[in-house]
Amino acid sequence: MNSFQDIKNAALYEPRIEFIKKQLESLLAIVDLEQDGEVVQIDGFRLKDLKDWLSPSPCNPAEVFEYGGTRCDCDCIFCYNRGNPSSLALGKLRRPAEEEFKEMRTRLDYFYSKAGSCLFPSLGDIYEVMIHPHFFEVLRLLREKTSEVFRITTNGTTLTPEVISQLAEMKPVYLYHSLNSVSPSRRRKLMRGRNPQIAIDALPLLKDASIPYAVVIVPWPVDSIGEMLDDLSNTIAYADEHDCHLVQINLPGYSKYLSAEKLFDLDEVWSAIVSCVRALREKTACPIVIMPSMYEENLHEGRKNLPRVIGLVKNSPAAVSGLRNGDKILEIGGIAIASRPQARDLLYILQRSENREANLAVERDGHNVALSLSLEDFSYPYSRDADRHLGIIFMGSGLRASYLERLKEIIDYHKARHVLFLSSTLVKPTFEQCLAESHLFGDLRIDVQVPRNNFFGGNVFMGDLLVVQDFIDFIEEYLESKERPGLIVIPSSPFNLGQWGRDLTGRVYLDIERKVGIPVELLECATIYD
Amino acid sequence: MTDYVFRYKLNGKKEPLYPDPLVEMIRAQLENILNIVIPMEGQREVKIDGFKLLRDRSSVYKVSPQEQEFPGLFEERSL
Repeated sequence: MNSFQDIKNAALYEPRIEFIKKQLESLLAIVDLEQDGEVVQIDGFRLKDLKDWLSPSPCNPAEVFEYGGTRCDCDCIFCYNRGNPSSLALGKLRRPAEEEFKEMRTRLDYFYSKAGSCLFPSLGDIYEVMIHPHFFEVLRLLREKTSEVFRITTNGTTLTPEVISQLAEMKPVYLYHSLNSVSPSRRRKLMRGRNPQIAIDALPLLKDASIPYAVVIVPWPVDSIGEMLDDLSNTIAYADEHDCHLVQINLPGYSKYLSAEKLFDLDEVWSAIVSCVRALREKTACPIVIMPSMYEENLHEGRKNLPRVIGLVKNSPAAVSGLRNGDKILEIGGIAIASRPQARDLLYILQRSENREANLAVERDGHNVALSLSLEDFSYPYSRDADRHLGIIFMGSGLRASYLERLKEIIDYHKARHVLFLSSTLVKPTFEQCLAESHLFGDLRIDVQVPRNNFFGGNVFMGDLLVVQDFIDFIEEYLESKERPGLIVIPSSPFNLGQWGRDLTGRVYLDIERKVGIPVELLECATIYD
Repeated sequence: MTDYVFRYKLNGKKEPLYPDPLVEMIRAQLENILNIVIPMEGQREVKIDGFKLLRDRSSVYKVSPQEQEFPGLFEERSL
């Protein structure tokens, strides 16, 4: 018999399983079960017919192969999984690889990509998928069921010529290669893995195999900020030399569980990285994105949410047409563009269309420039399968105007005149800009506030990582000095992992209203980690 | 090939909110269900924070220990 599943993982994505568990526990507190006149002791339950447990899904192949990411062969000093408390609803099952393979096989059997449904997720922490002994077997089986891109995140330790040729057989494949450093000694210091050279040497091999890849870098200020920036520049130059599709810089952060001591000054380190990257963009052909992108936008852009180009995928239709970094998109196919999300949506539609050409109008150095994109004119590293916006890279996804329309509907439903809106440090400036320019709210009072990330602590300040208790603590403190609002609205992104309004500890957002006694509504929105 | 079996462990007893095990059973089941559904009356969402037994409508029991409205754990509210 295989192991018990972790109920916390299931509860986050499919709380009806937790519901059954609690119902049974509550009944067993007052009755005994019988069989043939004898009391039967039970200590668990199992799902009967898995067809009853299908849920709507985009059927991303990662929904199957990521169940193999239960181990890691590195020990990164910045690993966000390290030290996480048991109260986090992302448990780690300890079970043999064979058993994990059997679960992945079963998930494959119920992977109905055409119908858009598959078994409910119950993923815990995800580590390195490519070291799983059945990884390629799972990919082969998946490829029989879907032509979707396999988007694989890896630390690169297994990327030998043999493994890369196996990956090439699985196309379309896109790799997020956590290279972190081109220096073997620094990579070893950061990631504490064996043989860093394999990951470093993989870049030209991936190019030779025509597998597009992003190089992912967490700049971490070991030794000094200067050394970190020098290494960042060298690593980006190396990635650019080998036709990397994209460089993704994940700004470094740590929770109190990773370190109780202050490790570095966030603003000092982040602003230094952003300045360095902005200078590197001037002399690097491959696009460089910074995550979270809103940090850069808040620091350097007076006006937010603009459809301004910050990078172009090499050899993409956008790059070939003569689009440049800094161009602001004014029109796509004759449609006037007002915001970044609108531009991204239209480009996404064009990317998937049968169209052969697209016309763009951009503002460049104060002048309007018309461009014609040939959608069939591209080569590696651009990929029609993996790219989404014809090779144009923006400073993140931006804030959708529809969020404000939905906010107004929520406020109207509650007939509230005074609303407390709980945002985040990163989103607040853009949200307030959109709010000030909207005609929807008249004399309604909307107080935009930012709760602290007490649960994760450290230097974490992402709204998406707030938990129910953080919101409760903030609102109680707010009510001590401020007027009681008629409604509290919270963006849904901290509760986006499942569709059931659970935070990362598995707690339902309804507890906020139960505790503070003021109606609480979630405003549906995407996570800012787009 | 047979399906992988999705098994879940049941835990032992939990600290009850009410000493009466039959009241506690109803409370726990209501609390549980209110964490996955929103009750409606017509088109209107209804917030529920307590219940009473049909045989004794003078005692109100709270559903969730979270609720601020009921300060004492075993306090009952008469209407």
